[in-house]
Formats: sequence, structure tokens, C-alpha cells
Amino acid sequence: MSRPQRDDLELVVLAVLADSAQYGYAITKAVDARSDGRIRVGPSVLYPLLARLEKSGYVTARWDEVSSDRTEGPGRRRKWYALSSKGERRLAQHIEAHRARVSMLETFIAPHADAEPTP
Amino acid sequence: MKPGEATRTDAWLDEFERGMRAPAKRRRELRDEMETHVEDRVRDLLVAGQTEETAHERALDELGPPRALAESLDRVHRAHKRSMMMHAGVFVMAGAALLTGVVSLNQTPGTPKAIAPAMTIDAPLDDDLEALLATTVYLDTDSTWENLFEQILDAAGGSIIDWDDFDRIGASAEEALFVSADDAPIGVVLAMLNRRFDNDAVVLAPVSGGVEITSQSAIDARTVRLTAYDLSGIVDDDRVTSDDVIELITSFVAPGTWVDCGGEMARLSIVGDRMFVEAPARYDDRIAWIISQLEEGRTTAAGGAGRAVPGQGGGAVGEIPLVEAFLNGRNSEPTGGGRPVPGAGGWQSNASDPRGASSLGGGGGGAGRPSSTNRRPGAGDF
Repeated sequence: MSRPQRDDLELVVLAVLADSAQYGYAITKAVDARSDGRIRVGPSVLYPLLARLEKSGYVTARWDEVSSDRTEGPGRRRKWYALSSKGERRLAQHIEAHRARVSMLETFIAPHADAEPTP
Repeated sequence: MKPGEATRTDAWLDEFERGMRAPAKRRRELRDEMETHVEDRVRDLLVAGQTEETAHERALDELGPPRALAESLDRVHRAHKRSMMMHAGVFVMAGAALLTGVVSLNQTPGTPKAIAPAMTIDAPLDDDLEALLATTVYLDTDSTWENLFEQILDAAGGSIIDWDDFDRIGASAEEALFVSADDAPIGVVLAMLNRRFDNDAVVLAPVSGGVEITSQSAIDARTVRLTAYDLSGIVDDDRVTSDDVIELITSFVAPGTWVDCGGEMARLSIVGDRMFVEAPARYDDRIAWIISQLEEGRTTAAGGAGRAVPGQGGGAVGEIPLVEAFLNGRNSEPTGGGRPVPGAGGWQSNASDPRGASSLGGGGGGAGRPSSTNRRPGAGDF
């Protein structure tokens, strides 16, 4: 399991939302599933991030009513997040920056990729 | 669910809600969101074979201390408070007119039928600015201008604010707004607050990577430019005099900002069949529209069939060679790198303003600002 940096985390969450609108808990599960458990996004990190993405206009939110195990009568509300067009552009920027960074590092790594570690 | 687990979850949620300083509605929404999260998580853990007690304990542990999460969420709304940075290259704000309320000459019910189509001055808002104006803010009765601007800058991804400018127009940082707003769009809040200013407004100007919060007068001062308008065939001493045209324009285009009317921002002179206007760029469309109406009215009166109005947007033709002759004759070339662009309707600088608006004379509008000299037709001292 790895701890992604803030920018990476933003990319991860935006990428998940690019597939479909999700609510908070579903996002944590989607990240877990897509990374085979190598990336975990805890709720204490996820919800402030979602709040920031919403404030920045990268995601839009809507509420949906769900049935509740804890209360009778009308259920509580669930907040769904969806990628906005601004968020799509943001995601594209993240992907481009990520690829540029990987490409740059590859130029250093490639000559040594098959080399035996020196004792 | 066992009563003990419900109580523990409620206690966590209560403390979480109390730990936030956000308005009540937002606190309630976040509580709902966390409660649904806990319930979803507990359900999955129960399916995975955990006991109810363990499932609740783990779900709450994953959320962490309620106060810590509450503070993290609060911080999102207070972000950028001290990270505002100076930024150069400010664009003329496309949506300034939207916020200042100087928008259109739409016909209203019960008024005589307009002979000209409604005129809209606004340039289309760019997508980002439109999204920003639709972003909601939260204000309570103690909120100040600073609180509002923090939320705007937060939503815009940061940028600049010049507090001296706002002190000047009477919107200092610590001054309370006396406005409550839950989920109110920024555009609506600013439009409402802008009603407090007589000849000014708070406007948002897109800059690279964010937005500048500034005043309309500050934007205007930066975009003062000299424009020439063709009045040939419009002004004659029998029907429409030079004074008529001046009065029309100073009455309907940003009244109170003209030097001849006690303002400081704009001035105009008519020499022969040319009118020279030194004013903020945003005045151009409205002036051109008024002139086009005068021209159309004259054509109609003469039995004409409404001949085409020359120049862009009506009467503005930007007869730069004539202006240049005036300037050259008085050895007063613009000093800000500006050079005449035929047909552009004004001076266009080499600076970064993509809309061609620049300060005549450069220097942040200082040299290009109108003096207090009373300019009447024939003065000609450009």
C-alpha cells in the first residue's frame, strides 16, 4: 500500500469520477479496487479533498435520499460527486504532468534497468 | 443496531458537527455525509463477518477524531487567506458589466416600443469565470469582506486582492457585510453587495491561474484609451448639436465619471465631425450604440431606408490617422508602448491585454488618466 502525494491523490479521485459519479464511500472502494489495494484513501483525507474539489469547481455535487438502517421514516441523504468540465481539464493537466514526469525520470532509469546492483 | 453503537456514532457526529465553524446548513450537510459514510462502511464490515461492535468501532476509527476532520473541512473554506499573491497582467473582466448592473437597454413592459434592438454590452463569460460566479459561498451575520473574498479566492484557486483598493471604495477587510447566505452563488452575492456602491463595484478579473478581486474603478483606470468616433452626417446645428451628443453620452454612459460632470475617469471632445473619447474600454460599445441610433434616426427622418452603419458596432470607426495627426502635431506620443492600429477603435498596446484595452500613456493608468482640464469641442489639446 502506498501513500499518494496530494496531486496524485487528486488525479486518482478525478480519474475515478471520470468513469462515473460516485459518493464518498464508493470512491474509497473504487480506488481500492482499481489499485488492487495498493492505494487506500481514508475518509479523513478524502472528504476534505472532495470539499476542495467542489469549491474549486472541479466536481459538482448533488444529493440523493437513501434508506437508513438507523432511522425510521425518510432516509438520510447521500452526496454524489461528478466531474465537471473544468474538472475534466484539470484531470487532463494532471495526466499530462504525470506523463512528463515519468518520461523525464525514465531517461535516468532506462540505462540501469537491467544492470546488476554493484556489491 | 444495538443502542450502544447508535449512541457512539451519534456522539461522534455531534462532536464533529460542533467542531465546525461553518454555517448551520453546511454543518448539517457534512454530518449527513459522514453518517451515511459510517452506515455504508459498517454494512460492508458486517458482510465481511465482523461483529456490529467491531464494525462501528472500526468505521469511526477510520474517520479519525471528529474535531480533526471538522477542522480539516473548515480549513478548506479558509484556505488561501494569507497566500494571496501579487499578479501582473490583468485582463479586462468580461463579466464586469454583469456585476455592476450596467448591462443592457432592454425594453420594459409598458414603455414605448424600442426602435432599436436591446443592446448587450457583456462579452461572453469565459467558462471558468461563469463557473466561479455560480460557485456558492457561506456567510453568516458576522462575516466580513475578507471572509467573502477568502471563499472566492479559494474557489478560484487563489490569486490576488488589493486591500488598499477596497479601503478606498469603502469595503475594508474587517467590515461586516451584515449578510447571511447559505449556498448563495458568488455572482448573486456580489451583485447584491454592489448595490451599496454609487459609482463603483467589486468585480472579478480572470488572471493566469486564478482571479483578481478588484474594483470596477481600478479596472477602468487601467483600460482608459483614446477612441475617435465619426459623427459626419449626425451633427448639424439644426437638429443635433455637439452639445446634444455630449449630453446624451455623459447621461447614459457611466454618468458621474465624466470630467465635465464632476467625475475623474473619462472625458470627450468634439472637433468638426470627429468625437474623441478618452475613457475606459468598456464604454466603447455603449457610446457606439448611441451614435448608431442618432445616425439611424437621421437616416429615417431623411426618408432613407436605414443605410448600413459604418464601422464596428455602429459609429466607432477609430479614425486613428486623424488622432495621430493631433498627437504628432503636439509631440505627445503615447509613452506606454502603444501605437495606433488602424480601425481598432483606439490605442492598442503591446502589453498582455488580449482585448486591446490598455492605459493610454501606460504607467498603470496614471499618465493616461484624464486631467481635470475642461475639454469642450474645439479644445483639441490631446
